Amino acid sequence: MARKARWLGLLAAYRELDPHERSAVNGFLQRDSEARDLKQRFDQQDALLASLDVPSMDPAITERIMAATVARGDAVRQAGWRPVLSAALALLLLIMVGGTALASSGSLPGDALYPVKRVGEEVRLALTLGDKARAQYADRLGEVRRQEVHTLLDLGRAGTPVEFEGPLEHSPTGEWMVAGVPILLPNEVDETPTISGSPVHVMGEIEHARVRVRTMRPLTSSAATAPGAAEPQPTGAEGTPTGAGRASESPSRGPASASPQGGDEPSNAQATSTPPATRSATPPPSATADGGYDKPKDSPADGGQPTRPRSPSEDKARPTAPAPRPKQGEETGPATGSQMPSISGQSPATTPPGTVTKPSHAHPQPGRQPSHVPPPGQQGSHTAPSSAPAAAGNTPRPPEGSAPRGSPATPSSANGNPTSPGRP
Amino acid sequence: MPAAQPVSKAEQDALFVNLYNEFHQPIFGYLFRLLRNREGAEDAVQEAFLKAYRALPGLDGKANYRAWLYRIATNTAYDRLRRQRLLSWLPLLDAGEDPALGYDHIDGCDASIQVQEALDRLPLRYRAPLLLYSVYGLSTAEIGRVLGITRSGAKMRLARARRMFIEAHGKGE
Repeated sequence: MARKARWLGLLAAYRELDPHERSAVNGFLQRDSEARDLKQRFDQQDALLASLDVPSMDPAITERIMAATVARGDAVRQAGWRPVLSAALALLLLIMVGGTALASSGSLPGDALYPVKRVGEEVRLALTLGDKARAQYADRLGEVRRQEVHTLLDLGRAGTPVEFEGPLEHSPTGEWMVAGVPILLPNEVDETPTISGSPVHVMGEIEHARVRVRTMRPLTSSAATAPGAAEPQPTGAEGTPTGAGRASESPSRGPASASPQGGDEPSNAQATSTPPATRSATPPPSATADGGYDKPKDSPADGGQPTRPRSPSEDKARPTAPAPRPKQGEETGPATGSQMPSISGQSPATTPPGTVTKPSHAHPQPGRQPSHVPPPGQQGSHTAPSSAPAAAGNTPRPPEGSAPRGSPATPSSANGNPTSPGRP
Repeated sequence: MPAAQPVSKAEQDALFVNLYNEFHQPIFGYLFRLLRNREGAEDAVQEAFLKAYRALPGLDGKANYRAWLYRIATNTAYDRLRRQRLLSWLPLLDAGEDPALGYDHIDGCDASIQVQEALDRLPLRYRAPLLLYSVYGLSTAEIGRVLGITRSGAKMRLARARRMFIEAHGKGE
């Protein structure tokens, strides 16, 4: 059986047999008639299969194949370069974007790359995960904005639009400042109240070492990114907190709203009517924690309706012991002068919060000048010492009388008298 | 048949054109016998030569181009038949009415028709070596390369295919 299968295999591929195998097979075929018959059938089979007609292929197929192969050869060969080219373009794009982002990191408002920087910051802020990390980065961005403004002021790039946030402050020299940046309040925002010490968002432009404010709106306390805007500090004279927060709760006029007495202190006229050491309902954290500016005196206080009731914990947090004063007798009443451009106060319905009143200074100022001048006899009786003790006890303060831009102002002027917006 | 490995694209294109001119008609006939359908065979030829063109740059210069092309053609035919077999399970398709599955008889005498019918009765794995050996003149070694089997395996398969064809053709007679 196996022998027959072997002969069958040899006969199936007879034409491949070498001469030696072929002679052996031929000898076998002569001896075996069955094998001879099989050999004939195989030969006949090959002839039949080879005689089968095969239709000719459509010439259009040839054209299609050639068009898809040889004619497309260039494209096929170029396809090999496509990944390399794509990778090179991607790398180039990455370098360009990265280089632009790197170059824009030091740009300032008004520069061509500044929008790139801002967009990058926004993207990074949006991609920052976690509320805490996002808040920290937002704080950093706020600091960057303030640094940009300071740099622009140093460079004297007048006309450059700026936008930053910070606590509204009042310097001993009577200037309004936001996060240490002197600002000029335009006339358009006159008679509109805001809170001294409260965080505000400022949009304006650089002008003569100051920022001319175009719009200024208050921020919520949570949105405040001013440095040191943290814990409210006891600021009130007699150990009671007053100060900037006092302004927020008292519907008083700002320094611009001159008192009938015409004294240099905005609050002197009504200071007596205001309960002394009135606790601030919403003490601006920046005003006290920063301690870097002298709170403007409260305008004629009207009793100060708290805008936010204080919690017992806040009450406990505030010391009640008398705080040290810069000078004895310089304070005659509650430190209500922190409210310079007052808000809310007297007529909340007519003076919506969120707008700025024009601070009026007795001395000429490039910007707004408080028009309220206290009577001479009340020179030392009206200041904002409320913030001084706390500030002095918490943060270092610059030399008295100096109110460098961007630095905290002293609680009192050089003559020892507390400064106020109305003090000349 | 070119033996040297082409190095440039022009040489590769020239080699491909030569291979196509030499083998496109035999391969079309081979695919026509395997697929039993002219349109299917034409599509398969196109597909097979496209595959060959793409694989040509990586082909060894000492390769057997004929066996290589028939191997591509055989695999292409197997793939198409496999797809047709899957399609035949669809309920709305009748295999008898599917032109892709129906035998595309060519005009010829009764003897040719009987041979074709006998050939069609062979399973594909036996039909291919028989066609390759008897019609297209491949050796058993080449058939082994085409089918991916050894030479002895190709011989064995060829012998069985011959016996099966004799039986199928005898029934037809």
